[in-house]
Amino acid sequence: MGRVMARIAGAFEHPLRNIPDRSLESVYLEIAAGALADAGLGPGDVDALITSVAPGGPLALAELLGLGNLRHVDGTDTGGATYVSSLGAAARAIQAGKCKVALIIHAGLPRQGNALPGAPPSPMLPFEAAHGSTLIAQYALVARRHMHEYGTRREDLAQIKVAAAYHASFNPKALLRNRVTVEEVIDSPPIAEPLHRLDCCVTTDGGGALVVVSEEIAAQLGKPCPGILAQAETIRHWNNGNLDLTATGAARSGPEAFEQAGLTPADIDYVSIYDSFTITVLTALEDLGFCPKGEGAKFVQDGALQAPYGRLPFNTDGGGLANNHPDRRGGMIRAIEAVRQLRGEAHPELQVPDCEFALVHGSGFSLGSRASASTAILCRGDVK
Amino acid sequence: MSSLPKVAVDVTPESRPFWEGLARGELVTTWCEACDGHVWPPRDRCPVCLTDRVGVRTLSGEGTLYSFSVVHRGDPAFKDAGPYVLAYVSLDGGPTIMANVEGVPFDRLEVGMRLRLRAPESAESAEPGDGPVGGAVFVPLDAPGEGSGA
Repeated sequence: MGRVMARIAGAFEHPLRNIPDRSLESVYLEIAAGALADAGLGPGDVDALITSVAPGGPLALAELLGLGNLRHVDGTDTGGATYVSSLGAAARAIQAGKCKVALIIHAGLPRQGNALPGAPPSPMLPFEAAHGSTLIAQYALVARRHMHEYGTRREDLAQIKVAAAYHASFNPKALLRNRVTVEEVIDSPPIAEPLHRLDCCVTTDGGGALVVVSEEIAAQLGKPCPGILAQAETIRHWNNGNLDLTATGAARSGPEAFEQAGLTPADIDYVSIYDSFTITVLTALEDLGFCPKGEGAKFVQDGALQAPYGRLPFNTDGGGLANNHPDRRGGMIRAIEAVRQLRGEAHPELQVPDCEFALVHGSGFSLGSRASASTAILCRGDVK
Repeated sequence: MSSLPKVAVDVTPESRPFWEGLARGELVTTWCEACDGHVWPPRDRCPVCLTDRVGVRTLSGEGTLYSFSVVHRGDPAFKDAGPYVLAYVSLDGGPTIMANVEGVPFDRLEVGMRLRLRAPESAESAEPGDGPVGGAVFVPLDAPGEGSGA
């Protein structure tokens, strides 16, 4: 096993999924307070701020949160992969001696009609907009191509939603708490075929934060803090009109992260995979190496993804498909549930026994055109 | 099958030949003279070799359906189009581009089917000016020819 780069001392997921009559600033402050309280630290301890699309960027957020001791700032935005990448960015900054306590934070209120703009419109937008392209339709193009190349069926994709909904049924805070069957996924209304409504993630208000600290600070806190072993990232795109829709950036970020961590997919006890759509999870499972390429449909059968005893328990909070998907960015909440599993604080019915190693994977923007990918590998707090 | 809307997009000096070509029923892409290969989407510098010796080339307008989706909840600009087909089409001798497909029942769509660029709907649309542009709309290769409508 590789060495622990830094440790996660605090994690906080906003408890609500619909937050009317509050300013985004108020929600940011609540989340920062929650994560720092969980860590046992205060704003004066924070010397690194890592954020993405906060109003006014890192400058305004530093002032809002009362951070006066910053030595490292990062405002990189790669969509839903951002906060998985932030774990690596924080760990590397800590290893380089730039900082000791990094606050990674994100919030949004899309259900109140004030979704923040992500990246500005890309130069490729005209070639999509002229054809009525939507984000869901782009993922549908990935699903259709995967079906063509590998024989994947809608019933196979549905298994992913069934597992997520089962997990969400244990989460009193989840937006959707009802369990669903494969047939209910199949029979839900079509959005962009072959993707139907229940293949799609929810949209929620809220957000979350993580506090990443040095080994030295973690030791002072006197509690086991999960470790960051590895993080790798990449971007895939149209590639000058030579696109391959079924291969994702996970095929690069996954193996690189495993190499850094000195681990293999067989070592992983739990995965948090950003589940913007069912097809997002299927392609990630393949490209991360949990099964051979094209065999994701076979892999997800028979409750493989269901905690605690499936072959590879995933998204035990219910994921973006059923629990929480604040501001349509999945990486943060996925990372927080991995921290819960490594702390042994997941729901008792879903806690993976002896959960020692967890993988978090996020993808940003669209697998159907251009997407970021980021993979982090974490270990339990008692792993040195 | 309803016709697809024109959409207001940013037309750049590099992309203008593509949009104007579509209005004439031609598939025009930027082309690297050094690599002798397509440059997509249109740019004035080749992303492979970074030369600025980039011109344009008119392709046959024929290609193969790479992937498709029948879109029910679509872009607001397409709200009157009813369900429509978003696709990637791999052009013969060129790039794979985003496109629409018309003139084929949804249940007959198949990855790998042969397609050709649809002929322009009217002489008027061959004068693109700076207004909204029509996209690349493909029909089955063996669909009835020019002037028969969609």
